[in-house]
Amino acid sequence: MGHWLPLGQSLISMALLQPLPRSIFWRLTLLSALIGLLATAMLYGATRWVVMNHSNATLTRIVDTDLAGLVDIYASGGLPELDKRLRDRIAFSVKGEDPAHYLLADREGKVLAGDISKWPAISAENSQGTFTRLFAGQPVYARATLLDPTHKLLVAREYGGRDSLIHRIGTAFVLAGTLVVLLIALAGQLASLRLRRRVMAINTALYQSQSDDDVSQAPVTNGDELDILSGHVNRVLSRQAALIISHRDISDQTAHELRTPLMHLDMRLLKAIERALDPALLETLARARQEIKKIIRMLESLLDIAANEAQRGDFKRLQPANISELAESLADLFSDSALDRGLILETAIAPDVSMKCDAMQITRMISNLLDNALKYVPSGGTVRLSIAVGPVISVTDNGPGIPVEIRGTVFERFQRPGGQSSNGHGLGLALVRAIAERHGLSITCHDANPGAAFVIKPEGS
Amino acid sequence: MFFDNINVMDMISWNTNNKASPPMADLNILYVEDDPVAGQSVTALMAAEGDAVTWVSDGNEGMQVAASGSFDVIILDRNLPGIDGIAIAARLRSAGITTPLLMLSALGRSENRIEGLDAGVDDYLAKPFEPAELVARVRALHRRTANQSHSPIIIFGDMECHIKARTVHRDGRHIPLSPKEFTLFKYFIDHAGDVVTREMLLRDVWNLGFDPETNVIDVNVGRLRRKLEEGNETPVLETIWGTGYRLVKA
Repeated sequence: MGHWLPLGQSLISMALLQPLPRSIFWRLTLLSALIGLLATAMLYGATRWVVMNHSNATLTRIVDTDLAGLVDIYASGGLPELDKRLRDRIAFSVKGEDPAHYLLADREGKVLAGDISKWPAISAENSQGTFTRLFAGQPVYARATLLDPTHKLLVAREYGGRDSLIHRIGTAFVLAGTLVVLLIALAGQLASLRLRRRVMAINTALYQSQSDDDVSQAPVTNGDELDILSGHVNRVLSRQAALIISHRDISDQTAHELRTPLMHLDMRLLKAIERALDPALLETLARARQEIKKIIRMLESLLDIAANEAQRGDFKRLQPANISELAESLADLFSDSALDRGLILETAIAPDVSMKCDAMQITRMISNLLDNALKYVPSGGTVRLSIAVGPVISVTDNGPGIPVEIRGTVFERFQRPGGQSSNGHGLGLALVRAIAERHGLSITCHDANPGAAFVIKPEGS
Repeated sequence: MFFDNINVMDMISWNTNNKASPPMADLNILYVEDDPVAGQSVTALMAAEGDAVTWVSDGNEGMQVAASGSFDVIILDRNLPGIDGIAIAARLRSAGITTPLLMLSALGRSENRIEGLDAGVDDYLAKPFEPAELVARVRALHRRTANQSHSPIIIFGDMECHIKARTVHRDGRHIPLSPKEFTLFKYFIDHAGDVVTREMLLRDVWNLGFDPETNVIDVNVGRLRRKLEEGNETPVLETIWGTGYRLVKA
């Protein structure tokens, strides 16, 4: 079974080892290449449109000029001269120029001269000009006109040259476009790699602050936005490191400064006990020693709560541990104490549930919950410790339960589920919550109908 | 908590010399401690047990004395002027000195204990402490290094413990024990005649670095005692009130 890790922790450690499947830089490169492709396509479209328009305008002008010339020839030389010129033009073709076709017909469309076999659907009365296909199939631009009430003339010109030009431009754009996309992808990839390295350096600094004692710094180079981010990260990391050290120092000093005088007091009490003869005085002195021990326990619990709260989200030094075995061992330790109180301690422990944790703290967390149940469940009750994959750790009983109105505050410091008169310093459940949250777990208290159920599971699950 | 349910009149003894047979005494102890109250008290306590105590109140001096003299056990305070107890422990260990080290410190949280054990300390006791607990720990530490026999059968009084077969006999009669009960009995017979404290049992038998509020140790030892004394009423497992237990010869 894999060890359970908080999501953030696993993502970061993964990113440090290999490229992410959803890297922002990979997506940026892809997007740049797509934009390059789109820009090239749009440029091609615009070029094609301009070339097409220009070619069409030239084509219509040539055809119109040709037609006008022939109309002039007819006006000056009549049909014979026109027929002669048409034959000349049909016979004479300039190499590289698109071929022209002509048709002279009578009013009914009967062919009188020219190289077109049949009058197409073009109106000579309106001097109509249009792109069409001749009966031989070749695409042309054609214009017709009436020479006189009984004769009409058609001039058509093929435009294969235009299409071949468009084709050549298309080929050039495909080649240039491919080159542009490749260059953008390459440049994007290079820029991405550089950016990725810098972002990962910041991530590494943040990640190492979770796993090492040394404060590592995010690199600062030339003062751009990432450097500003690095600067902020470095300040936060330094501040965090200083706070951790100061917290540890204050905890240690508090413990030391309180324990030392308490030890002196305890030793004086012991000396007094050695000399005291009055049994009542002896009892008072011995009770005073017990009070000292209670103060020490409370102090330690408070410091433990503070330490766990300070380490929340800090997965330093956590080691994989089999919490099933640890729970079995605790159940074994507690079972006779439960029997002594007339309680049954049941277990439902899934085998080999493991998690990265401070095993001693997790043991303490479960132990505190068992302490709590054994204290508040009356004789004849049942306490159930269960461990499931997740991990989900729960301690359920069929005792009086926790009243709804205090369920929200039962994990606060100095709250006692049984009221102020009950035993204990009221820090047990506060420590349970602090330990749970230090491991990325959350604890809730439910109604077990009847009884109380304390359930600990990964935060957000 | 165990202090809540004991007879307070039993908590008043400074020394633990009410033993049936003191197995080992007259230890040569070095105590490095800058606090005069603790220094005087511990020196007096161990002297009353028959041990010779050399008390040094400075870290550097303590380090030199520890390295030059031959002591059975060294008791180290943690916060010391000059060089602190953790550093002394680490330096002694790296210099190859294997004398058992007990750290007696005003820092008692599990984190502090782990730091001590990582530095090479063998045992860690927090102040304030029960005098009997300190004596028991010092004795146990010395025994651990001085008497590491691995004989397959341990005989103590009318009790016999077969290590490999994991069986216990008393007066020739087999006593059926669960695996955990055997581990507990084995710990007692390894420390036969010495006081074994609750904290030692929690730490060494159940691997716990804290004392649960529930009286788990008393109940588990009680069950072992009932099994040992069933059919043979002579007590073999004494309760040392406020401190722990001792396995004695019937």
